[in-house]
Amino acid sequence: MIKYDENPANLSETRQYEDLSMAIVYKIREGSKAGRLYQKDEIYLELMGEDIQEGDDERRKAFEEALKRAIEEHSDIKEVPGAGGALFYYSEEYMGEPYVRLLLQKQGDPLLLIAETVRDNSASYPRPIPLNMFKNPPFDFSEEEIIECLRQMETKDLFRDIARTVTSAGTVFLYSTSHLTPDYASMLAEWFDVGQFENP
Amino acid sequence: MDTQKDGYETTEKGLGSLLEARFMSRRDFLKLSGISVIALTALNPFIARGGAGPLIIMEQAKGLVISEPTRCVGCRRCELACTEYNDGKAKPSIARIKVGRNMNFGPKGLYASQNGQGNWGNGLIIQDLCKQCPHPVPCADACPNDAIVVSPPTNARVVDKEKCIGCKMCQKACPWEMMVFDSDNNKATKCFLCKGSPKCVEACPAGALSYVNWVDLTREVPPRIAQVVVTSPEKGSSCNTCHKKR
Amino acid sequence: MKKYGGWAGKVLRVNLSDRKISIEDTIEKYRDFLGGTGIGYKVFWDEVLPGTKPFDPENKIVFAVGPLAGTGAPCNGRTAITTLWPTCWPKALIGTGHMGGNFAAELKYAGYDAIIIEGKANKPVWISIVDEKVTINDAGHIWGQGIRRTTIELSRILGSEASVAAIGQAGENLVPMSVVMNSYSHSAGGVGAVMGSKNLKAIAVRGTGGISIAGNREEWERLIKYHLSLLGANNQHVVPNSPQPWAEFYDPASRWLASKGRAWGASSPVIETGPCDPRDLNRIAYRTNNAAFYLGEIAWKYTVRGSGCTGCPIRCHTMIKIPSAAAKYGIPEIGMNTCGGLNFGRSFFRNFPDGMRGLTNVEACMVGMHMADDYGIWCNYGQLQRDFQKLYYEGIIKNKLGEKEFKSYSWDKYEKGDPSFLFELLPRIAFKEGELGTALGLGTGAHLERWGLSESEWKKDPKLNYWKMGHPKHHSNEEVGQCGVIINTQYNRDAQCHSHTNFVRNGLPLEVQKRLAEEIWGTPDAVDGVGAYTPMNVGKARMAKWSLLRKELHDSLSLCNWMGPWVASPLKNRNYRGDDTIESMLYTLATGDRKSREELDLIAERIFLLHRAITIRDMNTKEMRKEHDTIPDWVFYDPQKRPVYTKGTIHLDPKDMELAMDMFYQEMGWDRTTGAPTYETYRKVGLEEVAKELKKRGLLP
Repeated sequence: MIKYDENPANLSETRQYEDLSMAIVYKIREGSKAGRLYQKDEIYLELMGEDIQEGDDERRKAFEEALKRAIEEHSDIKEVPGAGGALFYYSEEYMGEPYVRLLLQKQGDPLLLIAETVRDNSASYPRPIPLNMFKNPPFDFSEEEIIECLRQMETKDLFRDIARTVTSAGTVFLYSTSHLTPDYASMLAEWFDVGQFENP
Repeated sequence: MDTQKDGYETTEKGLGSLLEARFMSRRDFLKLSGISVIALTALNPFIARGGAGPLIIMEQAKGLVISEPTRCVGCRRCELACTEYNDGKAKPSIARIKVGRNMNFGPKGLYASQNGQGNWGNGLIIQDLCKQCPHPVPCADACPNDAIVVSPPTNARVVDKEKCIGCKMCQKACPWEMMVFDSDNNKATKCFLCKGSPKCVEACPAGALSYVNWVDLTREVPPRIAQVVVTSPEKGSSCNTCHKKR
Repeated sequence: MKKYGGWAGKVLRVNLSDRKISIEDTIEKYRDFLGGTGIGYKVFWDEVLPGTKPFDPENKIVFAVGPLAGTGAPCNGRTAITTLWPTCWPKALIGTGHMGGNFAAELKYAGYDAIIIEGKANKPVWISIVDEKVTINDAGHIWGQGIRRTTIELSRILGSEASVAAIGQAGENLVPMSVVMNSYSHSAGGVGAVMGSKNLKAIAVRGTGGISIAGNREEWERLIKYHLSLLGANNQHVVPNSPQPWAEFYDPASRWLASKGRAWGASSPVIETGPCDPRDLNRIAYRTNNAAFYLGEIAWKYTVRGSGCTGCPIRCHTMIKIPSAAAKYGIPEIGMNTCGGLNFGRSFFRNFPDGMRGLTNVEACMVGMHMADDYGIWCNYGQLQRDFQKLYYEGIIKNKLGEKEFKSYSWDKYEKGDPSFLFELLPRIAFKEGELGTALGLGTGAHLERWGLSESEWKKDPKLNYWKMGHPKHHSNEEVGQCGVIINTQYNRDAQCHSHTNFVRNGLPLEVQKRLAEEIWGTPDAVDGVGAYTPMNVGKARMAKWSLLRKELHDSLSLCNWMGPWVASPLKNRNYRGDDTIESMLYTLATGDRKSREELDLIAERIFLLHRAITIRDMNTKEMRKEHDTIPDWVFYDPQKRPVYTKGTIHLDPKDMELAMDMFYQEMGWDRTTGAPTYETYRKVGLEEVAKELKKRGLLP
């Protein structure tokens, strides 16, 4: 995987970027690999060491131009608007559209994020998903947050299709009644939580 | 279904995009600073000097394979890559990276028993690697036929198969037991850094190996065996050129 | 003769009765059967007469590997061991066990593709193989010792790089539920007592030679990297178990556990697995953590690293470090295993004081694996523990044991889930002490018979997973519908086939699986969603045939069928396609014998048919459909009495399964009434002599 196109003796710890535009590309790609969407301000702060509001006009202008070039010249670099209209940047080489969607949903309404994720899973795989899944990245909810979300969801019509089933091991799974019957969801949950380990 | 040929093409496709991205990324924005490439093609380490015998100082190696043992999972794919891709056979006994011998019980072998390392001890598997020694290079100095030479561009110390007579003197000289002997052709062999793209590093599924700028590890890594200093008389005399007897 | 790569070229034959050691030419005698189970079946067809019993000196044990063992082909670490299976009931028939570890590679480097053990030594011996030098040695000093001590003692003689395949006290004491084990944690069930019956304690191998790769080395390197690029995690699960930046899909049931935030917590310092982009071949080893998969989140902090077979990047054995288990139970603090071996101890218990995903659960695993892997006790794919739970909780153990023996066990500890209970139970199995220990060690079939229990009761209980002939199911209708059931009818022990399950559990959405299925088996209908089964169709019959042939192909080439086949991949830009020509490409380049996928599949069919022929010959009946390929009642039973094909049920319709068997036999070219292969079918795969012999015996349809 690692391609040594140069003699390592020639590689140095000190890395210089050809120009600001390449530095931006590099930063966005590294962010995507690690599951991070970058906002313009964040890139500016990390590369220029100052807040975009406080930076002087000339530096800001150079940055804007470099960012524009980064997008034009590197087809993997994408710009996407978030819930509040702010722009986010990622490399589609390292971050797929489904993950980007999750990250954007997360910045919006957490209830919708959970509901949409549950619906997606119930519709396409199909399967219920364990509550604990929402503790993983990119969701990163705490137990309390998940419980609070579910409590709120119960009160809203929009989430009437989100149902839960509990396995014999006591694990809670969520599913959407628009896509799975209670019987089927409970059988699948039992299979994922208990059955598959009895059939290793 | 894909035919064999299509299979290879799809390899390129399958791996292609990321390989390319990485490859490009280095060239694109990792500007190399400071060091320039030195042309070494004409360099001969055995330049006669003043008739006092050959100068045995070798040009320093440029690169080195190092390891991080906590990452090693003991699969030995490095040993297999070393011999299959270089020699066309799976033969860990001639691999120029050594993992198998430390895998079960650690470098101290059974003498440390279950208090040792390896699968039967604390789990840690040590990789033995060629240090690409600085002067004096024990294996090269031991060779009566000057068969261990510097090979550009990496300046690895390599065995010249044409010159090797299979006497195994080099094996005795390496404190880390990194000289191996291939019984199939009666020649010694050692790590030659794969022209700067070490196969072992590429093959490690756990990223435990890295190819880095050469550093002197000869004082860092404990020897496996007591070093037997073997130097032929001709070379011994050339030591005096620099190391004058008082 | 043409010189081939891949194979070591020699088969070692060791007769323990007359201590004769001889060498055969692999190519000359066995090339048409590749290696592994192929060599095993060939030896049994040619040399072991029907009516032979497992512990007779006339029974043989064939340790065999294939042309890819010991090479850089990924996942080549398994040794196939063929013998008359001692837990096959009511009559022992041919079976194979498979162990990973370093034994397969070491055997090849020593210069051998197989070892045929025959006869019986007059006193305990071990076999030493150091390249060309093979000796039979007195085992007096290690007889009675556990596998761990035996390995240490023999490694002192052969050196620390040797691979030692040894039996423990269970095998010595002719406990049918016993294993042979190598490389600390890699075992093959059922074989231990057969070795014990021959007074063979161990085979220790040290090899310093090489295996030549016939093809161009650049091409070989490219092929290996191509194959690596198609790998998923353990069991070829090709999507991660939680959303990852690079991934389009995820599946909470996947064994691809790596993620940001998950780390080998007992490594010093800690190592984060990271997201493990499938295109990064230098991170394959971080994808799988089977301790965390089976034991839950808690296992991450105890994980030292991955471990596994020579040459395999997947590392399905996970090394864990549990200081509390060492302190409480006096066992080593580090241990490693996968699957059945990892779960051995905990599976006896129904509950633990801190729940099923707590520390006690992990400690029970540590106690179980350290004891079972030293005594050499086999679990029969978990049947031992399932039987034990049923027998205890239904009061059968209490009924069958004398009061004194029953009271000699701390049942209160057992019910509470105290792992120290294992110290009372496991030694008694290994040493055949008392009624319970002796009975459990027999295996389900003989155990039920001994206690006057009815096998048909076992066949009714859906929680028991029991299938037939003393053995459980191994990936059946709980996930692969009719195809899984067909596969489970075919062997004389649990089926050990993963070709089908690794596909349906690969984590891709059903729609993608169906698209791939259409390409492989000609119709998207070959696969159903789990628990959303549809009536039988020809695609399912094709998938069953294909799965069985791939299993035998892998077991003969020495590719891991627990990891293959590689017909789905994690690569989005390939539309998640794998490549089912990977085996033929590896075979062709390694050996220099050019074979297409179709040609190699034909050899696989030859090997599979030879297994069928031996089974027919030794059962002395052609009525396989009625007497061998049976299906337990629970497959057709739904506790909630829902109609078949209702989503959420896994039970099947008996009539539909009859049709399924019809279609499978037809795909195989076997007689539908009897389920026996026809003369023509044998002839087509190059087994005309076998057909003639069966004809003579009246065993052709």
